[in-house]
Amino acid sequence: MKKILFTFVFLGLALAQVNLSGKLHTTFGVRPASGAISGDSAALDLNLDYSLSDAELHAALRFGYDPLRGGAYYSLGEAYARVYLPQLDLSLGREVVSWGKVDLLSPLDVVNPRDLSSPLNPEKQAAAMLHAVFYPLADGDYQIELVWLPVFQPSTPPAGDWAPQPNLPPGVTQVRRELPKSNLQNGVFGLRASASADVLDGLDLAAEVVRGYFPFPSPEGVEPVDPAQPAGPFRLLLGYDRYTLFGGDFALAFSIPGVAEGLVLRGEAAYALTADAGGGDHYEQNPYASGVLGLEYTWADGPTTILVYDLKWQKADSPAPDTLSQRLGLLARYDYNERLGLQGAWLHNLSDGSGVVRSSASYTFADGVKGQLAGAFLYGADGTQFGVWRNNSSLQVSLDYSF
Amino acid sequence: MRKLLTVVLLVSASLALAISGEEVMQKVDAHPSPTSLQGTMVMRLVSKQGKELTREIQVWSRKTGGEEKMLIKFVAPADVKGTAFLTIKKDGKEEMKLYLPALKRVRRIASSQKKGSFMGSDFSYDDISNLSGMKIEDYSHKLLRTEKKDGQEFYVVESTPKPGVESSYSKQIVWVPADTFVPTRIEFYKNGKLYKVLTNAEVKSFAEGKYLIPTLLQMENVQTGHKTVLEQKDLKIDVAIPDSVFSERFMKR
Repeated sequence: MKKILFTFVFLGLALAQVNLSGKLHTTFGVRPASGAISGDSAALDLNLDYSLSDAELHAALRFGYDPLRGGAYYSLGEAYARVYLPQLDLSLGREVVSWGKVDLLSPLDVVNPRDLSSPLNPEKQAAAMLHAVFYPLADGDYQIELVWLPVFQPSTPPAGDWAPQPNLPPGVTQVRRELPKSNLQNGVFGLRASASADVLDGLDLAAEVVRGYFPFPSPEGVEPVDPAQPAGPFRLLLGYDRYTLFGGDFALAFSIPGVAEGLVLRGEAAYALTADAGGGDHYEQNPYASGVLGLEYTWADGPTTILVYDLKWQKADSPAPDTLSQRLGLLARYDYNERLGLQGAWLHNLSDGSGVVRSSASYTFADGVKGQLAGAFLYGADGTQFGVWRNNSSLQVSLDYSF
Repeated sequence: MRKLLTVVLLVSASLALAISGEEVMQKVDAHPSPTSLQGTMVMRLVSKQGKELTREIQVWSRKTGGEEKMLIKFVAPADVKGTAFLTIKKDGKEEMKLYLPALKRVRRIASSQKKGSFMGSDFSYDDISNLSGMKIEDYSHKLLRTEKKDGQEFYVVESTPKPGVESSYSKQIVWVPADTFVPTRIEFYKNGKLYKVLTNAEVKSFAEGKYLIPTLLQMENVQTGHKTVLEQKDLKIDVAIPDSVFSERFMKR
């Protein structure tokens, strides 16, 4: 398989004038508390681009080695063909799309699955889709965007030291995960309309609807491992529940004369409707609503700061009371000079007292060569959102060469 | 004899200063400026120790009526390639949007960022968008003196922002050649202290001499010793740039 892939890559390069770019990334991480190695990987990302006047072909390949994830691996990232028509961009293939406007926490950015095997470095995964963006006006003030993913692709759950403790009911010894069947009714569909308006110092507005799936499976029931032995042992059946997510977002630039010039307020709100609106079915996920507000400001000769507040309501299975959770985040980044950049982020769950603090310093040694030193500290009690990972606090050093 | 010399000096000085600072800057501003410009900028960021980093960007800018639009796309280095920056100035307001390919998202950004460094260079976002010249009606201009250097006469003008005008600098001192009226040196002051010095090392004429445009500029931060050399290449002047260039669609493309 590897030989075939390499043959295709180099044959393609030889036949067309392909623009080749990419990145070589190496990283090493350690958990200071235990001395455990948390990262030791090297990866080569190759981007192949072929542009015509009204079309573009793009493919991204990753070849890597990570002994903590089982050794050598390779993967196909984005791989799509796109045509630029007078008022329409149309692409087909594996792609990543970003919806929503808030940094750090974005309840509307749900189209692509995520690789959360290492939750501190979540990565959006490309998914096969048809993606169309319609521009009614030349200045691009209005956009209508449509995505259709014929086959649902689930997110990758936390793995290794990040994986939650298995909590199987008594008598259940196995787990079976079932994906939705690949047919026309089971695809993921999204529609987003956005507009810009001349309000205060500029306003962007958008509304979207996504008919999709929860990214992680939930219990659907138990079944005997062997149908011939209905008395057990049993296995837990996990499935992916449908939801329809409605939402809107905005970004508003404004100033408070004499106090602060040049602020940007961003917001997102989402409501996910499921088949169990009342919470009566224990084997069906319940509706939730989420709202996020973020305020951005750049201080004179100082950092750019973003303050984020997130409120989430979750319908509980009856008769339990519904839950409300709140989180507060602060992101700051500062370019000390053209080589040294500093970044810090703090996310605190106001409801359970847990949180994560991350900081990093990056240094550009030469054009395209960048090193980074990063640290992540997780805190909280047992059973809290971040507290369950508090032993995974780590220090990491990495080196990138982009070409 | 000494009295006569004093009188001659005073008369010649008053003749030389017969033109006011306002008039000098009006002559600077009277230079026709292109309605549109497209080209490549190469920025060399040079540290005090002489170490260099390079940035290469493509620029599209257009002025129509009271509206100014500028789109910048990064070509190099590879780690920032594809980053695009759009500014639209209209009715005294300024919109700024940034496209980061890694995030695949166009973000409206705070205009407070315009005072910050432009991609690590000694130019601020404000400096880049004001390369075609300051808005002279926003400043008070005072002729400080005239100077002669290499046989060329210069007017030295101090420009201070008028009350209520938002500016990154407390004052600017501009060296204006008496023959071309294209500034060759600008000193930028912050809180009364010299902060940066812009030097126009090369001025080229375009459209059969209609326009005089600086093509090689150097901005030096005198407090850190760091400097940025900016070269404008492949300039196309007064070309038709459609609205669609200054759009989110083109930023992502």
